[in-house]
Amino acid sequence: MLKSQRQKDFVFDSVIYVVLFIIMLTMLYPFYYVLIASFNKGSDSLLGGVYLWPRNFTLENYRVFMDDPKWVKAFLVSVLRTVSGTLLGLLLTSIVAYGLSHRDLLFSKVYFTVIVFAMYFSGGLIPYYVVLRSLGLLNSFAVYIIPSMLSTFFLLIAISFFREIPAELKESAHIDGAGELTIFFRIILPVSTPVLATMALFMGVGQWNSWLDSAYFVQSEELRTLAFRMMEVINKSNSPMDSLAVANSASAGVTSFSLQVTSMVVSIVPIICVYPFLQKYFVSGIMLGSVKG
Amino acid sequence: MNKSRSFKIVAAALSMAVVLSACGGNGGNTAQPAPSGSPDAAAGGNAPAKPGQVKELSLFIDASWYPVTEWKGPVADMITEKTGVKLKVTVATDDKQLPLMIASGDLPDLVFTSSNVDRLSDSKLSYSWNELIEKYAPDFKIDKTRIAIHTMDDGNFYTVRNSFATQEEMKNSKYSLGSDGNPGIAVREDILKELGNPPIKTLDDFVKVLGMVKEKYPEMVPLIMDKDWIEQYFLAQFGTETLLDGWYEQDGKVEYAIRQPKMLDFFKFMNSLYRNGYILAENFALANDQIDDQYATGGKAFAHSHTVSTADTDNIKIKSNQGNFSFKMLPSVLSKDAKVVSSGLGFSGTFITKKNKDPEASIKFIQYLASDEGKKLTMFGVEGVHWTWNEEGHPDFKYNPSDADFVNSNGIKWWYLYNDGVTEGMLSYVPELQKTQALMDLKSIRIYKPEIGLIQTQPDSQEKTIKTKIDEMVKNEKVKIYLAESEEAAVAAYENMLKNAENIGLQKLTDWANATYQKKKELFK
Repeated sequence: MLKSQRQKDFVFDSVIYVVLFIIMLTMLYPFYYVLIASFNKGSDSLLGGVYLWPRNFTLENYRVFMDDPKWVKAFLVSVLRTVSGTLLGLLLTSIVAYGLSHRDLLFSKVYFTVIVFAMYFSGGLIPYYVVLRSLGLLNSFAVYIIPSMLSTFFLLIAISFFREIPAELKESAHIDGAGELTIFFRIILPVSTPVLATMALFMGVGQWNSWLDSAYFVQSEELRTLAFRMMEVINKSNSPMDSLAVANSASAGVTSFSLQVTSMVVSIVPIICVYPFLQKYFVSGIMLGSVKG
Repeated sequence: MNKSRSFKIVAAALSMAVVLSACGGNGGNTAQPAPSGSPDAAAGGNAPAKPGQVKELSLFIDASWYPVTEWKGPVADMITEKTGVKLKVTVATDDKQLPLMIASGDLPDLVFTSSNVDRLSDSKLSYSWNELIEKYAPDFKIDKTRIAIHTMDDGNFYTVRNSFATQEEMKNSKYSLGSDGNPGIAVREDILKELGNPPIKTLDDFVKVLGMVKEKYPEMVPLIMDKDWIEQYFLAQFGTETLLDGWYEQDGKVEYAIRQPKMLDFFKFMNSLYRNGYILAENFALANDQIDDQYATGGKAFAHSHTVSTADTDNIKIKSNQGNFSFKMLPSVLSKDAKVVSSGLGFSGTFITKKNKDPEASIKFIQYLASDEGKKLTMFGVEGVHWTWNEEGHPDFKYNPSDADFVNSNGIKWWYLYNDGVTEGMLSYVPELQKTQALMDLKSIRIYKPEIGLIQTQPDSQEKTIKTKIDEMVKNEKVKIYLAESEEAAVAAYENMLKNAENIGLQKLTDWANATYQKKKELFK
């Protein structure tokens, strides 16, 4: 009886594992394909049939891609905006969320109405551009940071997280003589790593991938981001060259497709490297044991 | 006390949040009217340069694919030396960027665009060329046809597009041939030889040879066609004067392409190719433009329909794959009726915006580009370094004009902010290429009718909606005609397509087109 139960469990588990494995493959394979295509000679990829590993290994795609010193600068700008944008965004969003999470806050209904309205409706690109211009943010590094410092969506998530924190925590800190800022920075933030990590990840990815602000609101070449430079490569590879020119350049091995997949790899890798380090913070239950009694 | 302290913190946090959410694109109503002339790099915040200094003007190029993004290289340097103007270039990231700049009033000194010509031809946004020429460059002469094409309803013209030539200009320039964007068919030389080199002087000859190929090489596809180049070659042979979505003119009136009597002959011909097994049914469903190339260069097809450079392009690929066969071009003219009508108005034009800090320098800069010296410098490179003038009337290049890397890195061709189809067309004159002969053949049957090109439906107009619906319907119905099981079925499907077009509103569209045509024709008198 027990044995047959175990057998059933084994079969059931095997089926689940097989299904999950297939799902994992369908998720991972496109990434893998982009990776091998970026290491394969472009003109060879056009012939099709490259599925498992590069048939005609080359680093030429990366050489052409990185040939431009602009890339290093763009990479630094992207790193800087991602780090500073994420940190400042976290700080402001969590401060505002903490304030709004107080249930006895005056006019809280009004504030929430404003926030929810702002989350669903926006003025559109042109009014936004005009606002940025009148604030003097155009063509400056600040345009990457300031507008995205407060995200209404994360604000709501953080508010509901802070409301889950037992009031006794704050009260016991008060009794021990801590002020609001001390409570926020030394008690509330340390027990909020799950929500902070989640917000940091999404804000960071958003900052890293953002190219629109670099395209529309910045003209200085010094301030261009990596994502913008990649858009440039993809745009240029759509250049309507005549077919003779295409044939000539394809014989050199690099094609528009191979450049596009290379730019994808370059943009994905840093985020994939950061992800595992944030993963460990997605741990619920961090609050357990924080309240004695 | 605790309460009051937390209230202070919350109030401070909230006031900060409110200020910042205004920057977050959320509440758009806080926008202040911007101070006019606010400094902005794209709009060129510099003061006009002093005489004798090099002036820097900002240029926005409304084409995200543009291969040159900086004003550098021998061509740009030489233009600066001749005009005293250098450009600070911004290339669009996408097609929404220029409309955004127009709406917000943040325009640079110069804009080079193809898709926003009508929008920028507006006295509120741009200086009209005629007033600037009158004021600053009275010796800058532009021909009547170009002025007619670009004259707006207010009587002014605000730009002149490049890549345009009149019938007269093309006739006077034997070596100006046009671009790669012309149809051509290449055939396998070795197979022709094995078939005993049958002559191919007419369409019937060609069809006969396709039949021989089918019989002798049953595993081969007699004719493979690029997905974007299916009809053009044959339409030209039937002398239809237009593609399937254009207008043709007869006795002073215009009619829509599909109504043309010759169209039915063309459709019957295409259908007969299919019924005889000379083309594949799936050829009409190809989603990718590389598949036909693979058929041709992989030795699976006898004839390859694509552009005038098909044979040259295929042969480069076959060579790099170590293949042992080659293609040659069919003549571009296989019938006495063959005709190509060019109704193009050019590609892109340069606008001198109202934000321009030095309109005088700008119009003189364009005047230099429009001079014979300027056109050749832009298009071919520096004389003596990149080319020498052949007394026959064409440049002898010291580089390969098809070498995109060389052309782009030296800034050759792409600074054609003002140029013309004649000079640009000489880039195609490379005597050793088969493409050159194909283009020469086509040139002999080409007629220019720019006034037809001026029949343009306006965005959001009723005519545009009708035309879009008809074109979409034709796209679906034409394949039914091509793949009909008998000639009678093909004719029935063609008539059905006409009936559908009538139901959508073809007559209304045609009446509008004729009214527009008569009005535009007046400009050319």
